Amino acid sequence: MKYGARRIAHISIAVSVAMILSYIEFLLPPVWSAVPGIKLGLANIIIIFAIYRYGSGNAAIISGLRIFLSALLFGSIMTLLYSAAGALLSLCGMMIVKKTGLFSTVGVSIVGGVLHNVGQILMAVILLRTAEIGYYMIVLAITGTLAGIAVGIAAASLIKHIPPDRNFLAPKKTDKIE
Amino acid sequence: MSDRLYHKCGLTKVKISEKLRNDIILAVAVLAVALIALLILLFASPHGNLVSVTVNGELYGEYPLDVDTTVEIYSGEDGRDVNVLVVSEGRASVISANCRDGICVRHRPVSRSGASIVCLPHGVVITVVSDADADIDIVS
Repeated sequence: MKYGARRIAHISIAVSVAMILSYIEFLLPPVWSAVPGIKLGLANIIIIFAIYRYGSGNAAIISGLRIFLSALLFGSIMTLLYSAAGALLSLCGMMIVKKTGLFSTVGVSIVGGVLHNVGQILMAVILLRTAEIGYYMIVLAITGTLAGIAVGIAAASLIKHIPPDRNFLAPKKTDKIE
Repeated sequence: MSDRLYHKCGLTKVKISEKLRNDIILAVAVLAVALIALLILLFASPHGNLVSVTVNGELYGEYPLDVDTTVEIYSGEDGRDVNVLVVSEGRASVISANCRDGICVRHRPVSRSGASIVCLPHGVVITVVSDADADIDIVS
């Protein structure tokens, strides 16, 4: 994979849009303040778009940059650990689910949303050395699924309406279209 | 070109019903598992009789649920972080805290075994346990 100017531009735009979406989400009031971690995950729209349009490798770069830069600008080491755990698990899960070819972006997004919460809860279990916090996962699984459906629909729409850049990552002849 | 596009986002005319069906199965499965777990937690777990408080994983103290008390939980550097735990009428709640989000204060009172109030910024975990549980917890 070469780091052509186009590729760098695409990745940069994706990272910045993802960060803006996170910021917009941060401005929204919390849905249910008793349970931390309930959120829409708007930035996941971009990550899903990237998985489908730019491939898993580029999506991982975009996700990693987003997490790192967000922590640098708005967060701390603690928030970096939480968001990195969520993002890593979520990204791996979404790539696997996409690879199976059984689900649309909505299915991919549900898995991503729920696994993001799982990653954060696991990190909390490790950092706080308590398993009790796992009970939050019940509520988060429900909200994560609902948010995942919304994000998945948005991602499908984005993939549909934003045409691919033919000069960016021309598909290899060996690539199969599912 | 548009054919490939639709292929890529899983909106292929031929496959849409199949993928949509799988999506729905996935969503319903996750929701069902969560709801079953929620029902078990809400109705099957017995009331506990002890409140266990840990700060960053270390036991801070244990207080019986049937004795009304107020406990100030100090954590952080020089104990500058404080959560005020109140036990009354067999239920435990946090009435005030100087953490930044105040999630623990808004948490509903807990009484069932396994239920907990967590203050992430302070690393404080307040868990209801029963005596039998407590013995296991000390060993592990």
